[in-house]
Amino acid sequence: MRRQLSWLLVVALMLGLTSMALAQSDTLVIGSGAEAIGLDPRLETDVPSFERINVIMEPLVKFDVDMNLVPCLATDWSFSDDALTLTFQLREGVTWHDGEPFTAADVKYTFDWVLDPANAAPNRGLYADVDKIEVVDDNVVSFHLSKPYSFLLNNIARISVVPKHHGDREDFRQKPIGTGPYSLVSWTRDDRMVLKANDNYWGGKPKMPNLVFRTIPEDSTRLLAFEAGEIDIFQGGVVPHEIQRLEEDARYVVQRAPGTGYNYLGFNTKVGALSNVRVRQAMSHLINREGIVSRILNGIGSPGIGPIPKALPWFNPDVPRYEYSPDKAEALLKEAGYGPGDIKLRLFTNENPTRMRIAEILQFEAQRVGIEVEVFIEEWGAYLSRIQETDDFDIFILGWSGQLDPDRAMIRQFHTDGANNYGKYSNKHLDTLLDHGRTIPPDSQESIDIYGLAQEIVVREVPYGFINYAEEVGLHHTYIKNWTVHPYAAGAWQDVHLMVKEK
Amino acid sequence: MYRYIIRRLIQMVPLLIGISILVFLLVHLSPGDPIRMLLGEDATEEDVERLNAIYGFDLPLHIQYFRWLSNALRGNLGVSIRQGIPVTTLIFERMGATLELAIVSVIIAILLGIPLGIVAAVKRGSVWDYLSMIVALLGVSTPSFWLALMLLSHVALKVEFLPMFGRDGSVFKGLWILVTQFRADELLTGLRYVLLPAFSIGASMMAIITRLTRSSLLEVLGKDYIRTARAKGLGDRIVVLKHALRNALLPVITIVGIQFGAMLGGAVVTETVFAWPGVGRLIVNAISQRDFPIIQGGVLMMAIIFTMVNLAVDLSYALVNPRIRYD
Amino acid sequence: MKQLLRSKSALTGLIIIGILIFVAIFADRIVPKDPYEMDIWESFRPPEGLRGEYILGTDDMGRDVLSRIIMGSRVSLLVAAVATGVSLFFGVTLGAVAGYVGGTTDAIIMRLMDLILAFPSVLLAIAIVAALGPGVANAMLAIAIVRIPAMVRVTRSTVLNLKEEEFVVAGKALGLSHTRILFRHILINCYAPILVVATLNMGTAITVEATLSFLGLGAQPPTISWGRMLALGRDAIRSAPYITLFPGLAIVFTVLGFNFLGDGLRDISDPQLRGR
Repeated sequence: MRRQLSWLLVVALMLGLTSMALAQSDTLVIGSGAEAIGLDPRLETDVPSFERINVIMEPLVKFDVDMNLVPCLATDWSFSDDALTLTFQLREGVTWHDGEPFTAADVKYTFDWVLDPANAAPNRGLYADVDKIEVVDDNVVSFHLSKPYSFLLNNIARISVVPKHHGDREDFRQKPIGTGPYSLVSWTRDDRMVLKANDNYWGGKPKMPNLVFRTIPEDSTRLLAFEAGEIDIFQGGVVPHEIQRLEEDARYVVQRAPGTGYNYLGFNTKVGALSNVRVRQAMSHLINREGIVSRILNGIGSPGIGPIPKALPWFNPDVPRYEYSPDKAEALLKEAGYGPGDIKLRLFTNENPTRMRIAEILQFEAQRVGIEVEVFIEEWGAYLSRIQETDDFDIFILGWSGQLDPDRAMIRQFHTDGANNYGKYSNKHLDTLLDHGRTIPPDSQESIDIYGLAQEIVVREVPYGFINYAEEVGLHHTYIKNWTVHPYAAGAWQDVHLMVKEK
Repeated sequence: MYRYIIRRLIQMVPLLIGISILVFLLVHLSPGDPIRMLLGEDATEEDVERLNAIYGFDLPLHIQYFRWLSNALRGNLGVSIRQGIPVTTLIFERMGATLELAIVSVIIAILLGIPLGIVAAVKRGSVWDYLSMIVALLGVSTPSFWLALMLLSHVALKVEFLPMFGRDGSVFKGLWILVTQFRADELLTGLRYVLLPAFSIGASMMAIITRLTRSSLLEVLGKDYIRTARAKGLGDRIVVLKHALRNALLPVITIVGIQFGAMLGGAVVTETVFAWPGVGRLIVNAISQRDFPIIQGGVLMMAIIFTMVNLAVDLSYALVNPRIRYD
Repeated sequence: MKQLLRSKSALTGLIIIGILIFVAIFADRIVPKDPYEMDIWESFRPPEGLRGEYILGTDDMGRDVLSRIIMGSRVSLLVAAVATGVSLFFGVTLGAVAGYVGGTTDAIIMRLMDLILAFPSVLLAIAIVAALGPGVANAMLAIAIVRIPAMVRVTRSTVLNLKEEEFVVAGKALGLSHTRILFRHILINCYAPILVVATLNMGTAITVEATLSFLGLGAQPPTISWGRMLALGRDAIRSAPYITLFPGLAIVFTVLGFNFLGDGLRDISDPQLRGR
């Protein structure tokens, strides 16, 4: 009996020890919905990778939480009068994690690498108008353009600068070096990424000595892990149905901000009934936006209006609105010459729960006005391949994120030659507007007028049925201070050095 | 014995080639383009074409296959298209987690399944029989992801000892440390993390084991030598455990071997729910990103492990039943 | 049949499956509400009990959970029956041929089965669905393929046992054709173990469909399947657990039914156990 008791004691002690290891006050644990593919800003295209990259490395300029461009590794910048040269004044006294100084040569190296076709960098298209990069001196670098491109700065904000003396290292993608507030210690893929504070950080010594990213793919699990105190904070993928409960709980803080993206119905504008603009307008009237936002998304996001997020200055509030109205849809269909049972459409989407639900709702609404919608939920690879490489679909549901300027939000999607114009929409007037818009200074009234008109055309002709604007939701314990949710998830942790854990 | 092992190993070759052809065809004939997935939304057509040429995707299928095969035979499973890391690295860094999960699930299934089966067989027809069968059947009737979510929200959230997700420590390493240094902390940490995922995978196997133990035990108990042993006056418990169970275990071991393969691959969903860093998740992500080398290499590795486990199972027959000999 | 009724577990299984078949056949007549009718403003109503409007509450799109469970029984039973039927057909044919003919044919068939067995089954199902496209039909096909090897093994070993029996030898001596001996005399006598495996497979088919649905690759809307109800309701497992609890229980209940039946059949078919 006594022996059994002492065993019990031993076990209890060990349990106590192990559970104490859980919550450490000098380590900030961030949850993430997906693992980074890699950590090389020149090669990655996904948000989870950039969430982590932006803690280790930094761009020349960055978007703050109000989506203004603010200095980062560059302190100042200006366009020449002919708009063909963009010159950056670099921050002085910045060092890489290995102690080497950061200079203009690193900037030139990074962008030259991306522009070299031999490297097949996925984002090369973003900088296609850059002709040459010139190192003026150690702290000044100039980008020479082949033709004016007003939104180049936004694209430059998307990529962090890579150190020239490490960039060609074979394992750079797994073991990067940067100028950011934290440096990489270890990375166990699909599990955790451990970082430590860069005490020489130019923005001040980070408050938290250690930082850990944990990858938890299942949304419900991530929330449970948060409530159990195993992670301190995460942004994105907060289960909508739980928001209300979490907001009412004094132990947690829910932060929300309008996002940079939206979900939409993409129409194949070249085939069948949907080539008729009235039918597309009818479909848009069948989207129960209020219902979807309020019940499917539990109030996260807002009803979709057009292609430009509401927070951007180019947003045009005066475009036509397609309120949910089966009656108007029926009238439009009648005008177009279609009666009940005349139209049969095939709708595709991938296995994303929100999109699957939207598909079901639309299917139900359409059937009420006599349109038969067949829904196909495809595995992601097959789905993308279908909409990108074929026109074997009538409708698809997809989303955009990172719509940080009107050019990026419209030219790829709606220009006749746009790379992502999957629905083959074409309007000559719109093409002219979009081509012209990218040569006009972004802060001018002309720019706002051009894109205002462009939005009106897109909304009137409905190549997309806009469903909802995204909203970013961040969730943290009350003991976490100095953090604000970022409208673009890739920048969520760029100011992580200010965060503290008051436990 | 050795000749038997060698013969079995030789038999593996056509099997593995068959599997690699099957995976290859499945992967290449299904829609989806790895290069477009890699380059993302801003890709230019020229880059797509050039990368297709670099990866050899523009070659005829059989040439692509033989290229892959000749590399694979030299131990080179290629490089992940998406991540640029050798496939063997990606697989081996996760193999420990996958094997640990599978083995612990099997152990849990055996530890729970065999006693339940014994009770059911010995108390045949009683309430205990039905009760243990119902418990066992619940295991096989519950979809594993649902069971996993229920365990998380009803057990893990309330029991602080059990974490919600992830992996820490290692059970195998922990056992080694316990034996060599008499410290249990590593083992305990490992166990805390592996327990729930292992249980949610092992539940269905437990059901199968319970059922098999019960039926084969009943069969053995009807045999003459057991009757003789009883007639000699040996106590019931000894008869059952010593004589009957030993013979009844054969089919149980067989099924453990066959199910082990299902455990390795079927853990996909459980790995996702518990954020367990295993090979299943790697392969499923690779399927959605069309990262061909990972899919091909991963499935091949799983098949190799599966066939090795089954070889071990066949060999272990000889241990349980000395009358079986291999030559 | 008499024995069937005497075995308690077989009887339990039969009753459960009987109820399910009844529900599935008359589903459209016994649903209290239209299972497809959605009213998004009525979503997440908790269960209201027998007197309420929504007996088991409404789901995230405001549809009646009870009606959807009733309607979903059709797909689940269909998946179980068709997937098992297909694997039964191919499994028994291949297994019988392998066992009866033997030699190279046997070796080839069995190596093919090893190939399917060695391929991680859920991954194989995912790969098949990714290649062919999702949907109930392809899910059934994937499930069937995955389950064939077990069927082949059982059939083959039973046929091997029966091959040397007197009535087969006698048949050969009489000059009956091989096909006739195989199908008329041998298979007739080995239905019992095959039936056991088939009933157990039916249960597995239902859970595999649920797993495919979890990955978004099972039934397509508006088709109602329990697996899809579980998969889509899992987000709300904390705030509205009833949305997943009831379809989950429906799956458990059905699979239990098939397993009880299978166990009962096994007890009956094994003469050694019969008298005890």
